Amino acid sequence: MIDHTGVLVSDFEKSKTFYTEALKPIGYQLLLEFPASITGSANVAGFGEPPKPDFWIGEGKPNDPRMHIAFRVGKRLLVDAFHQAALAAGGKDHGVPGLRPHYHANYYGAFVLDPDGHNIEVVCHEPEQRSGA
Amino acid sequence: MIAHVGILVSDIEKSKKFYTEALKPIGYQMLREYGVTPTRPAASAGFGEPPRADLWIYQGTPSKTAVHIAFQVNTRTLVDAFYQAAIAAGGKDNGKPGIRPQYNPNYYGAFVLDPDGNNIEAVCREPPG
Repeated sequence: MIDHTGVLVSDFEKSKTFYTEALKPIGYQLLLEFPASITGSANVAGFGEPPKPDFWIGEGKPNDPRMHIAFRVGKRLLVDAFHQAALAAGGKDHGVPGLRPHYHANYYGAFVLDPDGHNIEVVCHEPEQRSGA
Repeated sequence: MIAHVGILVSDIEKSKKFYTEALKPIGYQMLREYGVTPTRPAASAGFGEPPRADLWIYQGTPSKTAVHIAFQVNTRTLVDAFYQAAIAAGGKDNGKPGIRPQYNPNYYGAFVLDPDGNNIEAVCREPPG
């Protein structure tokens, strides 16, 4: 499985705020930061579900072309919540929450561009849950 | 958790071979392959531990700045095996297998550049044993 990955961002503080807010609904937090003196390259900040960060942002020239990273959740409601939070945090809509049946019948995703244009997705692969279930 | 990540590669056939060989020791296989279709603008391939693909490669213009992706394994031996397989498959050394104590005391990783220069890592966070 993927242990971690990340994107390069032009405005480190702005992106820290964006990801803190955008990923809050799916249980992510800013967990760890390392300065360039430790990493040997750039200031980095790691986000994840405690205790382990699996998504890192690094200060620098954004990846060109931009990255695509998707996060998995267990409920469609969390996809919706991510999309709302990410737009409220300044992201740009890149695909409203909904089924993408060309991927598979229960592929429910939403896409938002981060402040540098990286394509961030949250996806639920589970069937719709009945109310009260 | 991360569901999947995608990278652009300049030669998808070459990269398919590279990732098939480099990730074989850690249990990854090429699970999906697509050509260009109305909903898929570029040829692509998905790798993962069956049944789920979490690394996707797409034919295109690779990132000018290297992408970094790390895969988690449970033993240091698997980190070593990844490194050897990736080098044998044509990858370039970007950090030999070993402890990176600046991250944590048991952070045992190895780094290889893929054919387009993306920085691929395997990491074990378990104590030796």
